[in-house]
Amino acid sequence: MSTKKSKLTTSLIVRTIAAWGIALMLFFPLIFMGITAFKTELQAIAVPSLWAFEPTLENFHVVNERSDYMQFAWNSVVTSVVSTVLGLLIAAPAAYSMAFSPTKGTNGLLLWMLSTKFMPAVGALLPIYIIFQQFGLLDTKTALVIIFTMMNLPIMVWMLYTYFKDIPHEILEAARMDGASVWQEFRHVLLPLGIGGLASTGLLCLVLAWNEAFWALNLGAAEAGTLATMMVSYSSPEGLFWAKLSAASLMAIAPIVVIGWFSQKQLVQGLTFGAVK
Amino acid sequence: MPRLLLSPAVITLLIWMVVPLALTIYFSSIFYNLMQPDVTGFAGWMNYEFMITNPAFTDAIWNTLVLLASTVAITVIGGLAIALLINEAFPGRGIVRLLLISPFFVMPTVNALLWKHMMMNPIYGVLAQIWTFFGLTPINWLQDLPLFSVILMISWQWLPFACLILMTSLQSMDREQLEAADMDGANYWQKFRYMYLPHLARPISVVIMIEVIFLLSVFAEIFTTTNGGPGTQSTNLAYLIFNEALQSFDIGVASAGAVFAIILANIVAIFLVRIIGKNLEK
Amino acid sequence: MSYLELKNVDKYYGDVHAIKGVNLTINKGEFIVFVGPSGCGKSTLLRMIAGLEEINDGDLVLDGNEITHQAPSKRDLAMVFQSYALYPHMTVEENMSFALRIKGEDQSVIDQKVAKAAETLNLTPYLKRTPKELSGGQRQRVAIGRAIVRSPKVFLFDEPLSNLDAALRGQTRVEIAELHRDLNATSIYVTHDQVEAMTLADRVVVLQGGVIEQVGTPMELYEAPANKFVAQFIGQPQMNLLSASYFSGISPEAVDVGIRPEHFTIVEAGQGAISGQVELVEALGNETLIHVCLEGAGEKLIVRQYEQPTVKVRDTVSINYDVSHLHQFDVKGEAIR
Repeated sequence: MSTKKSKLTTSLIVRTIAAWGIALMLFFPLIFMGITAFKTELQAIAVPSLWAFEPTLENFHVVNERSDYMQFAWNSVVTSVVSTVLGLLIAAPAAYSMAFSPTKGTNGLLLWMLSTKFMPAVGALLPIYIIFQQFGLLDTKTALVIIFTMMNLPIMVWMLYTYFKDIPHEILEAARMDGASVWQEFRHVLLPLGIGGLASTGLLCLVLAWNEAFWALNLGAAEAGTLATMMVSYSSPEGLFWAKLSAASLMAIAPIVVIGWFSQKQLVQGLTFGAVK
Repeated sequence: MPRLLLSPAVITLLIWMVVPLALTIYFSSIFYNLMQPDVTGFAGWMNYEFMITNPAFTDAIWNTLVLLASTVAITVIGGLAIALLINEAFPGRGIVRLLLISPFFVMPTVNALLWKHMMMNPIYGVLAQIWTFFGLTPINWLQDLPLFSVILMISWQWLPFACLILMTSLQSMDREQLEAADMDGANYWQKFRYMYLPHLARPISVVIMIEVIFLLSVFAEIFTTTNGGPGTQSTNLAYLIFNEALQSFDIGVASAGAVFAIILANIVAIFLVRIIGKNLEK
Repeated sequence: MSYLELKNVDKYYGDVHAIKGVNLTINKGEFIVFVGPSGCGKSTLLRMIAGLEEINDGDLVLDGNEITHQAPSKRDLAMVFQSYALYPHMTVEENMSFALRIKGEDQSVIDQKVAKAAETLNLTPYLKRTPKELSGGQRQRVAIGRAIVRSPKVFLFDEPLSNLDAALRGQTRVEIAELHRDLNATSIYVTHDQVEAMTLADRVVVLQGGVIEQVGTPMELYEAPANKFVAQFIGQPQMNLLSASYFSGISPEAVDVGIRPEHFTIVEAGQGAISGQVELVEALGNETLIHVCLEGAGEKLIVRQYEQPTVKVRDTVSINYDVSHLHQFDVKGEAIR
């Protein structure tokens, strides 16, 4: 008995060390970036890398002044939040209808919606670019909101559908029998029960919109540029040096990473798309 | 009523799909070069011919597929291994989970810059320092192994996704089933083969499908790091078309490329649905 | 006095004709039970009355108003679901008051009605709990409470006891019977359990394949089944069916003859009309079931006697039957009267 116990403990120690080792290795680039953001440019490229140094906030000031961080951040917030809300408003009724009044075509419809995601963005770029040019939408937040909404719609419908499908049909029927109108049924029963699903779907789309780079780069470079495009402007040779780049990167990813940390449990559950019961 | 609720989503997606598709096909059949505005009219298969005969085209298709296949393989196998490792409780599992998921939230452009400057820089990069430490000559990653470098970056980003989804589904595994297998005398490998793997079939399908959707059109990472080079070594289809359109200003040819990209995506999609469709239907 | 009336009601699922022209009249205050094997359409018929399934053809009249295509929320019916379908995010009190609240009833009226219902159902101590924190039996009572606070025109029950264990099921059955006696509300109750049907119903509706086989009081069904299906569906153990050749002095059209197990008696050898060999003796204490295989064709029957077993397995026995309790069925399986 005692040998078995000690064997168990050894395996636990091995597993603990291995898991922490892998996690830290994967997280290392982000830690290192965070540290570099507080170095001077010379310290940043020192070989071997410095671990003890006097931290400076200089980089953040420079980034803020040189690139108008707030403007980009504001664009990111507006485009990702508005597109997410808009997407939820369109996707939720569709998902509700498919989950609660399924027809023979429901499965096919879902697959079709998903198949639109297989259409590569480059395939749509030129026509969209030209259409938006016609309507004077190039480099506007409106353009990005439209694109981000469309881009995330299939995933939203799909995720919400899997959430709604888990809500027992009979509960909605009970509400109907209790005399609830469609709106009351939605407001008092479906919304409270589906709020978790709506939240994690919204969060995922927020992350996807925030991080989107292809459309943001091609449609919104200057006025409507998001943080993703701000970062690209730093990649050009005449851009900032590595320490300032780290500071800018940190500022670009921090909001969404923090939100992600707080909601990761929900988010991961949603991402399984009903693959996990 | 159901139709009324469905129609906004269906109509929006229909427009989103049909209009660009139709226009792309139309553009691909006409002469449309912003640098030669006087050359117009029906081009027939000229644009397609131009695209196919471009030596970069075959490279781009090949690179797209290599990038897709290797990233999916790395993330699914790696993710599965990590998921099995952290499936049972150990001190600090909550924090490990947080650390593991973080790369997924990092935007592709930052991801690319991070690897380009901090990890892969041949002089002060972290990898170079490690190589030097072991007495090896540092590799100039983006110059010498451009496609592999891009695969590395993207795998870093998608590994957490695969890992956490597989971990979540491992958690939902029936304890009694595993205990029954223990009673039947199954060893770890047998349990993995006959218990875990069948249970994970569906989540693995989901992981592969989502990754394929996003990886077929990888762009920002290449744009920010290698610019498709050196030569065409890290040019994928998305980047090639972008190059054609916004750098050569030839919208006709770029559109023909886009049509190829759509065809490729659909071939992959059909292939995918064939293989994993059963798992998704449930 | 007809209160709820179904006139030639039809239901199709694609090509499947699930409910085939059902006619039924229900009186005010009556307790009606729909019973039948699974897939007979009893739940579908209930859900059509509720408005949860569309009625494809025919009419539904409630209290003088045609409500065939009215939305369920407008019909003023209450339903107790098999899964209870409680709102998981609401407390017991909120669950029970939901219908009144969305109707915009006065808070004082709501409180009073909920308190009264909770008292009747012994739920008062649990009013602030959520369904998750309740036992199966308590959830079941909340589901009933949610229905009675509304004083609806008709109560609909969809197999409400099937998720309870046997002991609780018996107890709740008695409670529902008492509740109906007190409220005297019109009720329709769907079950596959004939004990529930026999004990609760004023009238039982036996359904099979989307068709009503017979409507009648429990005793009518037991004593005068309209056909072979009802005869064998009601009663446990099943009514014995023997070929008419064993009997004399019966209608010439009779093909099968049914006799309930308690209408057989074991008699001295050679004294009975039929004889056979005992295959199994089930002594249940208050009664004994004797399985007998008849000589010749090998037909089997069950004899019920209310005394301790007097025979053993492999004994050859002689059996008599009660001539006044023969059920004769013609070629089509219809009873001959």
